[in-house]
Amino acid sequence: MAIDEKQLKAETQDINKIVSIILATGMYATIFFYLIGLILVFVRGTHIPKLSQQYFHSFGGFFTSLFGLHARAFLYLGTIFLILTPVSRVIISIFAFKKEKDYKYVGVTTVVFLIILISVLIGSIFKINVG
Amino acid sequence: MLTEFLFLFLVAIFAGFFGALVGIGGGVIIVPALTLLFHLPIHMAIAASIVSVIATSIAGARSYVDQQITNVRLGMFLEISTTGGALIGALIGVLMHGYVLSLIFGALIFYMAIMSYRSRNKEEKMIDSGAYDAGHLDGVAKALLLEGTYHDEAVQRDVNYHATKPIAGSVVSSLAGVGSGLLGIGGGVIKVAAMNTMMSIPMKASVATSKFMIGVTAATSAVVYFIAGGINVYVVAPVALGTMLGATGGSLVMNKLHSKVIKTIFFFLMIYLGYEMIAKGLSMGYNIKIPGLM
Repeated sequence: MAIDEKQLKAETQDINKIVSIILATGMYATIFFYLIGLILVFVRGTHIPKLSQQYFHSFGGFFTSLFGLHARAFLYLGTIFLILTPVSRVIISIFAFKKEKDYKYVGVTTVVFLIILISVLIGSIFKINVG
Repeated sequence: MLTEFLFLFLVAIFAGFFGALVGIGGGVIIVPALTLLFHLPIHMAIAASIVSVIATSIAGARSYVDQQITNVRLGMFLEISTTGGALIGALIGVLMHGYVLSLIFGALIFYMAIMSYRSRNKEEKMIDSGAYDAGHLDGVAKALLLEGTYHDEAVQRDVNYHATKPIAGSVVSSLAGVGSGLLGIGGGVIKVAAMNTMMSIPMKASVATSKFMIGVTAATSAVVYFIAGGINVYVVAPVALGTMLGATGGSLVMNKLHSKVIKTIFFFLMIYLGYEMIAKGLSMGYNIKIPGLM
């Protein structure tokens, strides 16, 4: 093991700092979009749909809804930010470990990222029948 | 309908607050609350819960990372098994009937209630820094540098530790992942137990690293539910905001309360929720009516 203790500690602090910034950004973005969405719900008096559904059939539909200030577009955006925060933490950690030349952890973190990618595939194969 | 949003928000604040007091994400309270009080389908309740678990994890994880208690390397290593487990759990959860999920959930709640009740008198003498420092790294733990140091404010000094049995710890952690995907919980209790009792990681470092991992574990199963169409954003938004707020408040008052009192209240709440979930599962799946309390 070539990495000495001091170097490991400095490297760990750098990675901690990056992780902390990502988590904070994701959290505030989520709160921001959720609050706008909920304010729109109150202003426009939307009902809570009892069933989850596919909210948007296309990117175009999403943007129409977003610029039309529909609550669901903002609630959707908040949820995406929330789910993507830990995912982006993983992606950026891969590069952080690479920069520190810690290739074992580049490998470990890449495996975690691949598992998340598989979950995207699995989610698109199976549809939930809620009701 | 506006009262419905407010009610969801208030229930989530309660779940987040209470979850923080007993050191869990709050999923074991949110899922029964959404199915029993709001009559939402259990798949939707699980999906909403898993997203709110990400929310509380992000808020908590950040504070521990800033305090340098989290072991990021250890977290990354164990995430391989927790995300793998989450994937399997979410897959089973998506395919399984609602009543089976209710029954499993009821049984899990009973188990957690009893485990928590049994440890109610245990004092926080887990951190014996000398013992943690005495361990030595073996095979995989050495290759992956699974050791660390954090500053313990209570005993006013740095605690060094070295991980043991990384493979066993990682197998047990994968169960936490399955629980997260299948039932919408964070599985923090299992991860902390795996790190603290199997891998000889000090309690505070285990709790902080577990919080750090929960976000990625929950995100893996949330992605499955999100793309498969199980997430109702109108439910998720007030619940996620509420749990974040409640968890922040809970973590502020936690040190001021006696853990014995907290654990006793938790025990009775859990027994009640567990009973209701099993009653619901039996009634949905087998048409057996046992007297419900609600």
